[in-house]
Amino acid sequence: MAELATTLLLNALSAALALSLVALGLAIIYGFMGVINLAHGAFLTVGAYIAWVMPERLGISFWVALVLAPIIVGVIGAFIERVVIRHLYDRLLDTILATWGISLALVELVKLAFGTTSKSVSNPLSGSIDLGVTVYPAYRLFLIGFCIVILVGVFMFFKSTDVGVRLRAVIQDPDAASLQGLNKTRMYQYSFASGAALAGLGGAAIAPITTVNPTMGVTYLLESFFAVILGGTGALIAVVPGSIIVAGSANIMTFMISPILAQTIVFVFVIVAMIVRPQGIVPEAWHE
Amino acid sequence: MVLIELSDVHAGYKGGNVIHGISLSIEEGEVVSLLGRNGVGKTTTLRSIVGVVSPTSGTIEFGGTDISDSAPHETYKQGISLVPEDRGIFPDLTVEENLRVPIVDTDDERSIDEIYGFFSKLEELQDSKGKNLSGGEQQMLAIGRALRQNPRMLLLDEPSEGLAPQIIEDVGTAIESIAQEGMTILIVEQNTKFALDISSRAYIMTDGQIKLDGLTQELREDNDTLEKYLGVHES
Repeated sequence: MAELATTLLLNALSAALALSLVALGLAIIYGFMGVINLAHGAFLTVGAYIAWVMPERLGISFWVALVLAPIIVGVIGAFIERVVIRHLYDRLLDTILATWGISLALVELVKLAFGTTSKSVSNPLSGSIDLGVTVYPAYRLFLIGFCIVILVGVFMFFKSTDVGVRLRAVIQDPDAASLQGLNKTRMYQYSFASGAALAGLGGAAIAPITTVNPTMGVTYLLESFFAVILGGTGALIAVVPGSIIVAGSANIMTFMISPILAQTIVFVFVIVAMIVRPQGIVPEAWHE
Repeated sequence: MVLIELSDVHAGYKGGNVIHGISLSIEEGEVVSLLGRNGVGKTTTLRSIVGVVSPTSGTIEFGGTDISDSAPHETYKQGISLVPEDRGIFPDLTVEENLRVPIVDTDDERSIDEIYGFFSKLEELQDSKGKNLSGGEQQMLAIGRALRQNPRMLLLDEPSEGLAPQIIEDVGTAIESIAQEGMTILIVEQNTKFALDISSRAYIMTDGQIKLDGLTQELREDNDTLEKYLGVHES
């Protein structure tokens, strides 16, 4: 029993932390620029395909792919910001449509390049580790630690560096920030690129434990939105509790009941939370 | 030496121009106020200087450079710091973090400690969030933050607005000591007495235009003018 419970909890934790990475990217893009980025799932898909194509087709190590995926997806994000998003600031509906179009285009490109069949990435850390209570797959343990390091790193960046403090200033009041010498346009481009990079990183990191296919991003896009809405947009760190509820509970309930019922319960919970606490579930004091 | 010169500047918002042909010039080291009733275009004048609004015609020269079409972050780089009417404090950043926001890549920047030396109250409040400060504390923070890059010119939009008389006096003292270091300052005010006390020269605006300018020493005695354009009743 303890063995099963530990395994379940670790599964839920790794799913929740991986979702946190992706949702954090979405929250950064929304928080900084007010852009609802429907291409976020496609960015994740591209990241996952990079983690597949490099080791499986190009003979490049998965670990190198894990480093390159966020960089490549970040560059794609910066390019998309420059040619599309920049012209649509303050036009919420137009950015939703535009990012949805970008999403469709990226997914079609992936299909053209790699076909529609599912791919699997061979496990870069095969084997399991004996934790005493249970024996757990090594890559999943790595994933948990990796996500924690990235999340802490991102939050430290926002908390402790001048650039991070300036980015938070841009979120809170872009006009006042431009009076402090900050180039709003450039800050927006960095934000979009780094949000996209986080989605790409998330996609690459989960690739070995999931099936890689062109539409894999849809579920993550949806869950990321739920995590951001649940946590609230007042604080970036809110995506962590949001993700724990969305991915963690879905993960555990999927085991106990059925996947569809589990998803439904999470949806209903998110809707109720939106009505009861539209500002998000985290306390005001967390806002940064 | 003239530091800033506006020539026949017209500017405004989508609905139409608010200022209609503003010309003014300020010498280095001068403290000048821009006075007028509510809605005559004082704030718009400051906004067109820093580039929040772009002039539809006319030119703005700063230190010999044409900045008419420059964006706010570019005029900031030229050395112009604006303390806006709403103070522009980032509500969820602490006092210290607010002071870290300005870009300071010049050699003569002021450190955060120097700003604390100037406004000792800010040091006590360094970990308080911007939204938890009183109006006077926010004004001190906004001015202190504007001084971080050691600007060549400081623009203050209604620094006394909404503050208690004792606090207004403190803000005035702070502005005067900044001025004594040789800073060029342009103050927009509705509080005529406050502005006349701390500046040496003043422009008076009505309906988006400059009606007259003169030394504050003389204006202070000129009750008819003050009454006519500013509605000030001197007792």
